[in-house]
Amino acid sequence: MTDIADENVNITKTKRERIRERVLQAEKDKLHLDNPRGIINDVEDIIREEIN
Amino acid sequence: MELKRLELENFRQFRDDAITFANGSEKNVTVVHGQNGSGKTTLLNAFTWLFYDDVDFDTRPERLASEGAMAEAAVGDKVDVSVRLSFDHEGVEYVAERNAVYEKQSSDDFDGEVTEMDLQLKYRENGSWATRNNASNKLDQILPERLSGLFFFDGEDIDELAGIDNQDRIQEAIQNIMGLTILERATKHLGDAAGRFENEIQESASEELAELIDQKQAIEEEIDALKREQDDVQRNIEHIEQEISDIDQKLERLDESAALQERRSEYEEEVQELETDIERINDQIKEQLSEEGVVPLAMPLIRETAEELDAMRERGEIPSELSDSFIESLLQAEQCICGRELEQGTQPYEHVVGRRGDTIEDGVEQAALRIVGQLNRIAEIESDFLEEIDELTAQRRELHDEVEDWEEKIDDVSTELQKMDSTTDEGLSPSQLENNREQKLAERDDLIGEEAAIEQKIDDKNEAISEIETEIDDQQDEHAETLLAKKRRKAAKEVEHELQTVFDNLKNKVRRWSNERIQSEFSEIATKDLQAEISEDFALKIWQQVGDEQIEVDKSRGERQIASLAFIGSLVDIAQERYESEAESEYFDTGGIYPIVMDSPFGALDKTHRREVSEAIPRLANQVVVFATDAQWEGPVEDEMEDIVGEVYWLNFTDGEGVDNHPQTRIETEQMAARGD
Repeated sequence: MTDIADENVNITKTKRERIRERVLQAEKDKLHLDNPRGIINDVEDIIREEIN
Repeated sequence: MELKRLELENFRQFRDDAITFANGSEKNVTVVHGQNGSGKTTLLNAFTWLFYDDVDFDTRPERLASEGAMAEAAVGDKVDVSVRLSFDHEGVEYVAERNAVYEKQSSDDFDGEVTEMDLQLKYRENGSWATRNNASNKLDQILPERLSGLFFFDGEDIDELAGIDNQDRIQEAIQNIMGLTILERATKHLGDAAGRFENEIQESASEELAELIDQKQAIEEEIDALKREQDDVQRNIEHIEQEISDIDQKLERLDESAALQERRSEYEEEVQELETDIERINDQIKEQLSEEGVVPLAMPLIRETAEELDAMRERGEIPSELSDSFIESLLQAEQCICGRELEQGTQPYEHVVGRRGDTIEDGVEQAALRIVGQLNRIAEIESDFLEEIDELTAQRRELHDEVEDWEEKIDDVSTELQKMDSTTDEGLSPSQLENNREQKLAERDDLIGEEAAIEQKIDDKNEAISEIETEIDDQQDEHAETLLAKKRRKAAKEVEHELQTVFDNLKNKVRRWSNERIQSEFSEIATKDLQAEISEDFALKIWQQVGDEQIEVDKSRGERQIASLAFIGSLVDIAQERYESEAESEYFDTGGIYPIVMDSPFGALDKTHRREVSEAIPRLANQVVVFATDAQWEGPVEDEMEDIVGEVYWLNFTDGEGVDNHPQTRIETEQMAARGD
């Protein structure tokens, strides 16, 4: 069994908070743009980094 | 943001002029007096050109460089145009400067051609000046372009904010300022990212899981298509309703049908009110059902349990003491006194085993009696509940009957109108219009039915999706790659859900705050019987109290302007308060302290309203800049504001008639003597 399987896809509160903070900051940085190009990639990367 | 000084060089009719803004706590208003055509709007445009490279001039928009400077230049010469603004923001000093270089192309070229354009933003840190590399982005962060219309505005257009076509702008403004936009975007983008992880799961997953994801995505596509269809139907409904309203207006204008049409409008209003009441009762019924609706459903089981317990007690099957032998007998029979099965190894089994050796103070029989008593009390709750529901449905039935009565009357009006087939001077006949109206009503009703059917389909499909999602989550796929993607998808979904909840709550709070503020601001500056409100869908509405009733008023220009000013004031006020409080600072996109720069804010107001508005203006923001004509300023405005004005300027304009003279405005602290107007 891998670590991931052991955790049974549960996301801890701390992880969720970190993701939320980082995603909001990324959005804030591009908020002045009507079309915030690349933001989905940024959000995807944040989640990849936080959940690995 | 606090404005300090604006400097203009060769910008339209300004050659080399400056304004220092008032920003004291007592005297925070700067007044710039200027007659029509003297350059008030140009000053407003100087701000938007500097910040966003955007200008809005009615005359010669292409001529940004001073006509005088262009005239003095030789062919091939270059004229520098610049606007420079010094300001403070979040405790940092900034100087923003936009420069454009115009080259004169021919001897009669007064417009010139731009050869260079440059924007610089300097800031002072630790006593020394540095330059920002991302000047344009930073300026947009400090004062977002999408909000600029709210804080740099032309009073002549301000009333548009309260117009029916501008509800989107109001909603956008509220959302932006209150940090709702950031939440809305984050929610959407997390959903998109979750979709990408889902694709990853599908690529690495077992066939069964891949199939489930396939099914889910197919249903999502179907929902998208249904939503598009629904939008079309809604647009058609709106279009038909507009047509019906046009017909109503025509019927109102015709002498023959005016009285009947008026009567019908009254009847329709009655129906609308009754329907609102019915809606309210429906909500009450729903609330009752969700709170106590489970009681009638559970009643047969509760009754059965009470009867069974009582019978057991009477038969002496419940011992007066809780003895180990009684517990053993339950375990042996594999059934508890509550009727639950006692299977070895299960939690209920262990629970009963754990009671071995326990004693109950007043005996098991007493306990059983108490339980029977409590179960019987539930029956009383049921009867209260049913009584309440009966009463509400009776009220609803009565209202439905009343609606029917009014609808019959409406039908009579329609029949009478259909009989009026004489053609009027305008070539219209009420009967023809009425027939047309009937047809439109039927079309509209069909479309409403269609829309409801689509809505139902969407609901069903959403339900199907949530079932599939549960199955997806339950799938035990052992590939590490799949599990990781599943975990990432889950994280994205969970944070998306959290932010959606925050968004919904904040949106309601924001609506409540803006309502409280706008109501108090508006009641200060508008006539007593008028009230402004931000509706559920963030529309700005003005109500008038007539007797016991509130009716929505057709906004006169003055009232619209006042409502818009109250609206902006409320936003600035809330934004500032929220900015200063630490709570929810996570969602803030920008500094929440804004100045207000207004061109002719009193233009459309009568004397009383001018007085009220000028009394309210300084409360609107920490800093206010007003451009006004003498006629707009003198009288009530001057009386109210003179004590809080910190800086006063006059735009002294010379039209430059004559061979070597050109229009020019000087910004001076004294009014030019011997003016023509």
